Amino acid sequence: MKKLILPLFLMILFSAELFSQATVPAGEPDPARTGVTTAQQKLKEVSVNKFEDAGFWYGMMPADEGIIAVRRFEGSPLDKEPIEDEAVFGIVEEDKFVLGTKVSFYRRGVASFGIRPVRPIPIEGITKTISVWIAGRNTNHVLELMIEDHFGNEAYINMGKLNFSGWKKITVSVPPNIIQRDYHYNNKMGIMVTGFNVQCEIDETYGNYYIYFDDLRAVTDVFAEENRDLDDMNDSW
Amino acid sequence: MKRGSLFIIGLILLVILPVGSAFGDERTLKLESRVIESFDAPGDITFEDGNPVYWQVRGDKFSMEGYPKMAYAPETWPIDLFGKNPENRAELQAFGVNGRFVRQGYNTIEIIPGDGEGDNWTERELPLPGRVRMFDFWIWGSNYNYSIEAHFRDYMGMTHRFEMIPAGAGRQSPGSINFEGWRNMYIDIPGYVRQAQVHKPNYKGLVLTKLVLRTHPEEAVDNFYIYIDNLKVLTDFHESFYDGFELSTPEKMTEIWGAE
Repeated sequence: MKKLILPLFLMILFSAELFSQATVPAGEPDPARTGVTTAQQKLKEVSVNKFEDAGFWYGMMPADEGIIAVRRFEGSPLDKEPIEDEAVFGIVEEDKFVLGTKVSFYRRGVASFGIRPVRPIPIEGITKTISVWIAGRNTNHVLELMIEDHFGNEAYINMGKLNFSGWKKITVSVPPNIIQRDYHYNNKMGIMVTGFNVQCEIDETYGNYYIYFDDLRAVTDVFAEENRDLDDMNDSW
Repeated sequence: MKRGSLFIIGLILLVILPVGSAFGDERTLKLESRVIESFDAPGDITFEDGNPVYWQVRGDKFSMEGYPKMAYAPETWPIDLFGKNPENRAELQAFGVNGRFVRQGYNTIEIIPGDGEGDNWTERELPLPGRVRMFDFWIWGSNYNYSIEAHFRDYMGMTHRFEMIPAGAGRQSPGSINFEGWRNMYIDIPGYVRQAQVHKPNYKGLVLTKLVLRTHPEEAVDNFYIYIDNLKVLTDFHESFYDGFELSTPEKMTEIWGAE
C-alpha cells in the first residue's frame, strides 16, 4: 500500500502542474510564480478599469510636440474573456466602451505622451501581473505602465513595443523589486495604477497616431487581505 | 633593502593573499557546453520527469489558415558544425518552419517546446542546465528581413527577451536573419538575469519558454522557410561546497522529509 502512495501522489502533482501550465500561454507572465516569498497565495483576477468613461482619463503631451485628444468609442476586443469571479458571482458591469487616444504630431522628433486617470486606481492585494487590451498600429512606440506604491514611490514598467496590428492583450509582471508591502502594517500594501506613457519611436512621429485601450486587469494575491487577525486593533485614530 | 620597505611588502602580501583565497572559491567555474536540443527527431530529448519534448509552431492572428507548418528535414545539417560527411548523417535532422501571412507587418511565429503529442500537446518550458552563460543555435536564413529572439524566464517569474546575435556579423543587426544559409546565432546571458538565490540551495535555473520569429513590415510574407538546428548552452555547473552541503540536495531532502 505504502509503495502505491508515492506514484499516486506524483501523478496527482504532475497532472496539477500540467493543468496550471495549460492555462498560461507560452512565455506569458505566470502570476503563480511571480515574486513568490511566502508559502501560500490566493490569486484572483480582478478588473481594475474598463475604460467606460473617458471623463475619468485625460491625455497629456508636451505643447511643442503635438496635440492629444482622448475620447471613448463603442467597441470591445472580441477575444476578451470574462473574469471568472464576475461570472461566478453574477456581477454584471457595463463594458461597452473603449478609450481612444489620438495624437497629432507637429513634426518629427523625440516625443512621448501620457494617458492618466484623474485619480490613481488602487489594486487590492499584492499585484502579480497587470494586463490591458491595446489596439496597436504596427509602430515601434513603447508602452509604459506607471504605478505608485502606498508610500509614494513611483515606478515605470515597460509593457513592450506597440508593433502589432489590431487588438492584443499585453500582460506584464510586476517585478519583485517593487516592494508592495511594509512589514509594520498589514493594511498598507499593493500598488496603484497612475497611468500609461507612450515613448515614441522617432522615425514614426509624424501625422496622426491612434491608440485604443480596454479592460485593465490585474492578477493579485489577496491572501493577506483575507487572513488578517479579526481581533487586531485599527491604527486609524 | 631597507627594513621599512620589507615591512611594507610584507604588509601588502598580508592583505592580498587572504583576499585571493577567500574569493577563490566563488571564482571557480565548471563551464560545459551542452546540446539541449539537436532536432534530430521529434521527442528526442526529455524533460526531467522523462516526458519527451515536442516542439510546435504557432503563428499570430494574420497567419494564413493551416500555417505555419513545421517539419523535420531529414539528412540535413550545417556543414560548418558537423563537416561535409558526418558519420551519423542518416540521423541528422533540422527543424523546419514554413510560414505564410495574409498581411505584412510585425507578424510573429512562436516556436514552443511542449509536452504530449497531437491534441494533447501543452506548452511546457524547457529547463536549461546549470547557470547559463551563453545560448546559441544554428539557423538557415534565406535573405528575408526577419529577426529571431529567444524568451527565457527566471525563477522569480520575470521574462527575459533577447535578440539573437548573428555570429561574425557583430552587433549591428541584433536578431536579424537577413543572410543566406546556415549561420550560428548566439546571445550572452547578461549577469542581471537571476539564476541563483542567496538561500540554499542557491541554484535556480533559467527556462527557455520559446523562440520567436518576427517579420519586418516591409518584407514579403507570402511564403518562406526557416530551419533551425542544434540548440546549445554554455553553462556553469559549479556549485560551491560548504559544511552541510548534502542537506540541500534533493536526495537527502527526500530521505529526511519524504517526497514532497
